[in-house]
Amino acid sequence: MSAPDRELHDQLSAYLDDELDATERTEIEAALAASAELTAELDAVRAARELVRSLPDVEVPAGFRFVPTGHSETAPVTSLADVRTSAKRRRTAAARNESWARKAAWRSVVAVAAAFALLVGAGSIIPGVEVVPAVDDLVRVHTAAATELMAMPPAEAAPTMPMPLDDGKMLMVDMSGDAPDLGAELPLMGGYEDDDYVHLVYGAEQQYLSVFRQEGRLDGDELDGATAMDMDDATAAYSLERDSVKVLVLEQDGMVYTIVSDDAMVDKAMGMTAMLPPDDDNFVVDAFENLGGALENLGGLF
Amino acid sequence: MTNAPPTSDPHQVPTWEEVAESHGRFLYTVAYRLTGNHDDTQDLVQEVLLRVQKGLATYKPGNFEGWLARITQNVFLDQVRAKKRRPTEALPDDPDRVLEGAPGADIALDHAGLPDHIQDAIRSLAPDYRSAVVLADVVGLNYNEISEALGVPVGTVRSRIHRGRHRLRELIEVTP
Repeated sequence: MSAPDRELHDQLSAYLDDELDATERTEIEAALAASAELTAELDAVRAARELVRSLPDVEVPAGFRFVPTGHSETAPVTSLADVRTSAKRRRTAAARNESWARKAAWRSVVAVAAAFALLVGAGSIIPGVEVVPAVDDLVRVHTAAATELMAMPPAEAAPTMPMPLDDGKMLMVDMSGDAPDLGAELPLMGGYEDDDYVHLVYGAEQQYLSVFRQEGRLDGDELDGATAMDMDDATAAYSLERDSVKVLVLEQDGMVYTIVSDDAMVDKAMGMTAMLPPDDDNFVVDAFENLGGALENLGGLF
Repeated sequence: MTNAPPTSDPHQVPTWEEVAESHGRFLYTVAYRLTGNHDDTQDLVQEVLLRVQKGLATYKPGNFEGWLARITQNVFLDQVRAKKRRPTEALPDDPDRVLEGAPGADIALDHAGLPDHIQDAIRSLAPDYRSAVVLADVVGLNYNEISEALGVPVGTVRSRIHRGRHRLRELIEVTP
């Protein structure tokens, strides 16, 4: 079957479902009038459609409950804030026995930030004014982006597309599957630039991590609840938490980077740590190269 | 299809019991049509509920069951791709690849029209075609909604639905 013929055949179900525009409908009807084969195919797919539509609802087996494991049937369907609270409780318990691996995972995130800083900040040291990232706002933006991405189609299914967030920001999402992985674990999902920030979102398996960049010098003393960290190559670095969300803020080469990650994403970073020791220079190099490709892939944003 | 969140008061957080009562059977049916067996259906539904839990905070009033179906097919395709470990494989363009594989070959054509055999035929479709057919003919979404749900152009939706139905017809030997 030639490509035009195949396209014609492929429109038969759309014709059946009244999903063609007037011109297409006219074309199909003319083709149907001239082809008994096409008419027979239309009748066949109509019958197939009716058979599927006639299928009854499936009986839910006795004993199956529509409740996520660990929840009560009469408990409210929890909001995202409740999820965070629950995760925080789990994290608090885990924190009592904090492992080397978790510390190493955060060093991985720091390394990602360092690589990011090397890329976008290189050669552009700007004295800038002192800035204090609006951490709570950034956490909300990250959460909104992550929640929207969670319901997006599979990564390879769509081209780059804009996705509006609640606050008027427009997240450019690269769903082509071409965006390079970061350490084979963190594909770049999208990003945007506005007057305040460059925002990039990385993710894998429905877990996401955001990197926000803004110009200026970090005034860490004004970061509520922050703990200063020692980090090579950064003028200043702080870690803090908002509910179950981990936040890392650092200054490098006149830019301030805020990395927002939920607990599960930290576990993903642990996976990266297993593959690439956090002190391995290659990790930073690889991340640098991947980010370079990612930015190129999202050309025009930066 | 129900277009309201599972509670009479939009400002009140529903209970899981209310979700089950209002949408449980719909969700289970969609999941079963996609997976074809109860074990995988229940795993799929559990994962969907977890994502509902995470996503409900930002759910905007509208087609709640459409939203549920969209999450369900996303989770389904995620699971299929994870199992096959080929997350970036190109989608099949060749109609001959519409079939998932061997399972359809032993469908008894003389039982055409029986629900189990129709279900077997659906399960025999490649996942991308199965999703399109289920969203169209089980969930009842229009092509634009399916395009949005699957993240593919409407033209691709047309071809997937048609080729999926066409292959179903071959499998269950539909008498027009």
